[in-house]
Amino acid sequence: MKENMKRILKPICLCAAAILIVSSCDIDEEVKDSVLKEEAIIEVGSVDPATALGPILNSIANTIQGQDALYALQEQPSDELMPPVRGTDWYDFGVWTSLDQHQWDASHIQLLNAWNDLHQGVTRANQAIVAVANVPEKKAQARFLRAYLMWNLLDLFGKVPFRPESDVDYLTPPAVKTRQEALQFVLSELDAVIPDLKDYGPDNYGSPSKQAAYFLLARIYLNKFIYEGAETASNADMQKVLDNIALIDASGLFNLANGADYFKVNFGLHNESSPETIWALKNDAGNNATSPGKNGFGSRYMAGLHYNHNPGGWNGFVTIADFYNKFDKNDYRFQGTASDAMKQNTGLNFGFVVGPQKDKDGKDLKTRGGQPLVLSVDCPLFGATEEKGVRIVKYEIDFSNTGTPATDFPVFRYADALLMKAEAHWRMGNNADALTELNELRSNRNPSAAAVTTIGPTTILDERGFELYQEVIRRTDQIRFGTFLGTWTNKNNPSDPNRTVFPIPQTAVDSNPNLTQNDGY
Amino acid sequence: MTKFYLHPSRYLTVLFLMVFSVAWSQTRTISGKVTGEDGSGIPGVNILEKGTANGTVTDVQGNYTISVAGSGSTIVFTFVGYKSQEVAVGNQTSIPINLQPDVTALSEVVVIGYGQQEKKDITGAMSTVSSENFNKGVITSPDQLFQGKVAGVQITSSSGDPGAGVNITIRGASSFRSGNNPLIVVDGFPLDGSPTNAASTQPNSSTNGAGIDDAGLGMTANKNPLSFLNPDDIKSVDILKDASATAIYGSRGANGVILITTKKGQQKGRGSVSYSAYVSAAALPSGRKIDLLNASEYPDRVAAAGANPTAANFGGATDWQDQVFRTGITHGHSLSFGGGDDKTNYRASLSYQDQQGIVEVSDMKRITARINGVHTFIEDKLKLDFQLSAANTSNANVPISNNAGFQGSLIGALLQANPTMPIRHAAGGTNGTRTWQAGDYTQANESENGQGISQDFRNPLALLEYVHDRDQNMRLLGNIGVTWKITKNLEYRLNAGIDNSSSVRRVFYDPRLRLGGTFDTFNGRVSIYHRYLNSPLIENYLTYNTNIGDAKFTALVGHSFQTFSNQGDFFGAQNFPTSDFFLGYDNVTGGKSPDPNQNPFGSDNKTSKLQSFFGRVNYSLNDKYLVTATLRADGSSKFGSDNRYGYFPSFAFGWRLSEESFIPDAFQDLKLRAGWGITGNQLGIPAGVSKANYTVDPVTHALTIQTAANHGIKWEQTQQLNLGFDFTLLEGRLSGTLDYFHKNTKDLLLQLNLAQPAPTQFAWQNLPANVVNSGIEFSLDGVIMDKNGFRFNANVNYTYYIDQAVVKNLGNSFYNTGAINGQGLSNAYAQRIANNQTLGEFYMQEYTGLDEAGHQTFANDSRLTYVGSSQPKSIIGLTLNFTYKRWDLSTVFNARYGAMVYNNTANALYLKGSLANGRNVTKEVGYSNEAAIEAPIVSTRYLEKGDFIRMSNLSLGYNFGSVGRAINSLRLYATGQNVFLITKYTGYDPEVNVDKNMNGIPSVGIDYTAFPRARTFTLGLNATF
Repeated sequence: MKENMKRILKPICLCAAAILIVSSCDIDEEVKDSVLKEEAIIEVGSVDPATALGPILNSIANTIQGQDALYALQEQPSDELMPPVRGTDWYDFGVWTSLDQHQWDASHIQLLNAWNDLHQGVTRANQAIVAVANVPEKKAQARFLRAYLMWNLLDLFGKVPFRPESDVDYLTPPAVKTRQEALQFVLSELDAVIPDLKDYGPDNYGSPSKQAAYFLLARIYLNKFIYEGAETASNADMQKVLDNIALIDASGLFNLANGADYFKVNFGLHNESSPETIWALKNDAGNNATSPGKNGFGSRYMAGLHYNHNPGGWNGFVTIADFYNKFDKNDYRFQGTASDAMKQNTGLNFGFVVGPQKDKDGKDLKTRGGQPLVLSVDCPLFGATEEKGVRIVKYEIDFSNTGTPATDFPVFRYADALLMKAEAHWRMGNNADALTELNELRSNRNPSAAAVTTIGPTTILDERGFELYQEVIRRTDQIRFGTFLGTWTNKNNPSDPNRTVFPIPQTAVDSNPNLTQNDGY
Repeated sequence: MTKFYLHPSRYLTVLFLMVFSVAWSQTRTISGKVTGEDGSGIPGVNILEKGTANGTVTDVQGNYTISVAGSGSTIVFTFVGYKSQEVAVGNQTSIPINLQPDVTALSEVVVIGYGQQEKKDITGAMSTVSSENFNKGVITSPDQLFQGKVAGVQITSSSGDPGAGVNITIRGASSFRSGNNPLIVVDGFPLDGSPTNAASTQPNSSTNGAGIDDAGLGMTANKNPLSFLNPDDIKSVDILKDASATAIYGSRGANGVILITTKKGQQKGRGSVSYSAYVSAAALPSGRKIDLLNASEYPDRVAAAGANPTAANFGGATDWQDQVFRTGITHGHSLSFGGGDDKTNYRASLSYQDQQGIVEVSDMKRITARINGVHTFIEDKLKLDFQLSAANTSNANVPISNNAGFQGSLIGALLQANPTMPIRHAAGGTNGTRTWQAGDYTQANESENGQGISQDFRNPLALLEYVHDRDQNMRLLGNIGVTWKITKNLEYRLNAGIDNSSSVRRVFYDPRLRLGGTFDTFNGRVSIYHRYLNSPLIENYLTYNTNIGDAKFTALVGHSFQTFSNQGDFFGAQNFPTSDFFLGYDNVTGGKSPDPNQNPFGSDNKTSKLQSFFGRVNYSLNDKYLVTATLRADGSSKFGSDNRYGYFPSFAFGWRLSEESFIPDAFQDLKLRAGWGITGNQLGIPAGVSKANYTVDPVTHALTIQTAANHGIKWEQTQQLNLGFDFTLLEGRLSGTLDYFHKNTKDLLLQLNLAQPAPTQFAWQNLPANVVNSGIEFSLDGVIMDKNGFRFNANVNYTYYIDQAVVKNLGNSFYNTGAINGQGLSNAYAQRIANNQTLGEFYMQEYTGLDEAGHQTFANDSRLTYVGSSQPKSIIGLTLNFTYKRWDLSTVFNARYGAMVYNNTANALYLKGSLANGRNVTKEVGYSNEAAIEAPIVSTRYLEKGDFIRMSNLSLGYNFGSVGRAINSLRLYATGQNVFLITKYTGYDPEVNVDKNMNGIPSVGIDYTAFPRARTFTLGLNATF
């Protein structure tokens, strides 16, 4: 019996062992919650053209709509916004003050944020270019968005690492385009895609149109001399600005809104029908197409509103006294009446928020320490108490979605096109034409003020500030007018000349041997 | 002992007994009971009258009777595995004996990977702690049993929360990522090291939907995945430290291996039943309460900080610490029975523990059941063994998190709560849409006493009552083994089993909870999470044993295959029409999705596989020269096709000098050991990192690339050199071990920045840098006194780090970690990993004090500099045991030196400006001349010495021996844990490690509003029947 058992057991055990060993040799991956491929390749037609642009626009929204990344880099170092340190609040490891004082270094977190967001957008654009290669308009739009992202990169960082859409070997560091190469590439891309883009209209609202491409060309030609390191703009480039804006005008699709409705039409919850919008990022209430963890578009007003405002904000950023004081108080862009919904819920109006603060019932608000909340114009950079500084409510407060309002972000506006036209005329020496253009905008925005009769850089830059504050272009404008390195309230020292270009983030230099750090960092 | 019944000596002794009892009429009859460390009788103990052949043995209950020549006689008690004892008879007629286990016995068999070995033959660095040396008291997880007992092993729980997560590092951290915990093997089954509870792992939280973290309360910490084991079931723990010991676990051995062996039924003797029970009381240790401003001091200090003292005075007087902390009562019961004969043994156990935390509401309940058995058949050629354990752990969690915003989670909220704020409203009222009744909690944006309540204020008691956070975790571990003795020398073993856990967590924020801000518009919110882990294992191996002349030879070859599947899901809802707890928590149908555009749900499912081939050769010549060689080849599905398999060799040599003639006989043992090997680490790397990974973008619903392909990604490797020696002197009264180790880890696995443009910021890559750990470990056991029934022995273990996880070859790159939270502290960090710095090096401004105007001043032009490490320079453990007759007293001290702790709590909360904002601060800050506009700057102002000496355990026991006929043994004991603490650290406890990782790079030694550690007193009994 025992011998039998042995005879039976022995082969069974051996077989079992052998089978187990052989059958268990498969160690292939089983990741069921995502699609795995050997190479990061998107195939033609693998993506629904209707959603193909979404991820790219999402990257742009990420970097431009929150209070950090691109917004922080364009606004905080400029003369229109400042980030006071308020005792226990807002020091934030010196992130904001170092931007304000032009003391950033290559390890600055917002540089890295912007760098990564913009490059992620470029990669997504590359993927879309391949995926929708069979849909010419979508492909052209994806190429436009890539050009827009790359323009931002060359404007901020001065050089642009680049992979063509066919390159998916993401572990091999890409070659780097110089500012000139990147500039030429972006211009040629824009020229190339225009025939496939459609005119601006309700069908492509939120996506790039022909006119968006003209606008971007005009903006790039306007700044081209800066990118080329020239002292002054060439007439040829300025003519390009005028030509492109002429094409926008010729479409007949855009005109200035009624000046009194400056805020409501352009920056209200339902601004999708603004006649000034050339290209906007669409926002849905409660969902601003930003990544988890990033702040939505509501940060535009939440960053400034006091804790005891309703909605309770973050009591942070304020406008700079010099900038505030330049405003004519009758200018429609200085303050404006809120929509009924906003007024009823928050007690706040559009524009600059200053002086004694009251709630919607007219009751005085207090600081957290129980003192009256009276917002002052002056504000130190360090040691600012709670009530210091003028706050900005340019974009409508969506009371039911305070963090993620329904307001779309107009990236390109017709008013800016008019200002570019005026500036191009002035830079070509056509002061009369420049004055005409400028006064056309001013009479709309501030009919009670007298027309300007002389024109110079200050007039144009100031007017751009009145019109475009908080619209993520101030740094570029100041650099073009040569004031960026100068001094203003709380910025007492001129900056090092190299500060017109940001350093390449240290981690980017570390991860790509083809990238060299910019001069001065 | 096992062969006792067959031993001729028994019959001889009986014969002698008969002869001599007749021969001498002067004889004295002595009786008594021989008991072991647990107080139960030991059968079969040899008892001999010294200098004679007169002897006897104990019966099955451990009782004996012996007649000796007279009062001048001495009786000797001997038993295998125990130290022999001699007793002078004197006038005694009853001599009860408590035998002490002979822990230094050289014949002791220790568990190694895939086998056992006699301790004298061991060539690697390893330590064993057996049950009699375990820490006593309330033990929630097995790591607490040997905390402080083993050189080179540092065990730091993240907080004092019952079931809190734990960091175990053996010989220092070697990885940049959160993969520094050792491999845990339970009775041969290597556990999946992933966190098991749903609380710890967030499923793909796709949007700003119903994540529990987005009310500003932060993310809750990981729980300890080992708390599923009943400590009463554990017989011993073997800790493998160097590469030659751990290389048999190859790619999972780099952080050391902890082998847990459970108790088995006794092979001989009748079945026995054991019961143990205890009750304990835990409280915040006196003197560790934070000295905050009280209600009478507060208004004056608020005014001095520039706030309106009237507006900040709500007329009450509340000590929020007293309100939230309590005396937590814990009780536990454990019942086991087991038995067997020479073919079969079995053991089954049940346990229940209900542990209250010292924070109101917090509670952990655990029920465990375990059964194991062995049966041998076919002429002892085939052996079948199995184990099955099941544990159900349920936690009542309180809202304490790692990374709460400035309003704080529970502890932060209570520390900064205005002391003049009454707990409840005196009268009803209304403020906008918000109304309240008298007796309701005072909360944000309400008013009391005519004063408005700040939107920052979080009533800690409201947090406790209105946040219902429960989790339930079920973990099953079962395996079955077949051992077949093919020939006299060759043995085959099959081991197959499964480690399975499922966890659900439900969190309900009552609509009545006011957190200020947008959360209050959500009208209640529920989040439900699940996490499922499943890890089947199959192993086959052959062991060949032979003696060739004076040489012993053992060889092992085997194959192992284990898969690790990890699945989870979550969903959430908000907007509940009622504040009825059950309608949010247990029935979510009343809620709504936050928004049609949001996805308050998510799921994930990943499986990785590990296939291994391993072999080991042990060779010993003349019991003098020992050689061990090991090789393991591991293939993991996680790695790229180019580097799927990793090879992990080790070699070790031992030389037992005590066998040489030139070594004096005073050395019972003296052994030199040298070992070298390579082990690997892949803990914490998710499946799918080598391939391009595509998912659907939750916002745009387009397929997008999430990670780039990396075919070259490979194993993280640790090379370790170990030199050591073991010695035993003075007839075993003094023994010790000294080891030098040097660990060098390369090809560090890390989420590295991808050169842009790329689809993501990071990708898992191998960083071409090294982490070096080196140091000396020392452990000494000595019997200091053993006389007249009094016995005093001591164990000391000491670890000194020469290189405390020092980073090399990193070039100019650096990685910031140690995220600091709090108001005005966004983007702040406290640690930087850089070349020639330690993992956990603090990097910040150097604070030089307040100037006359109350402004902070800093050295080095306020530049950030390296200011110290969170890695300790040395760790000391001291255990003292005293026994006198039936009494036993033992105490354990732990000390740590050279580690810094960053007090993020103080950085975030204790600022003059907090007073100006109507919050509370410490008396020290309240009365300082600090200006109210000072910013919370990360600096050495909050960096404190984390040195401490702690009496971690003090235990006094009394053995009654047998009581009546039913109780075979009974022991009563009283234990204190965390009895006292000597430290200069100003927070609750310096031994704290809140997870403040940045981008997956772990931090070390940062304290942020953690659940404080308790002092616990326990009364308990152990009985066997």
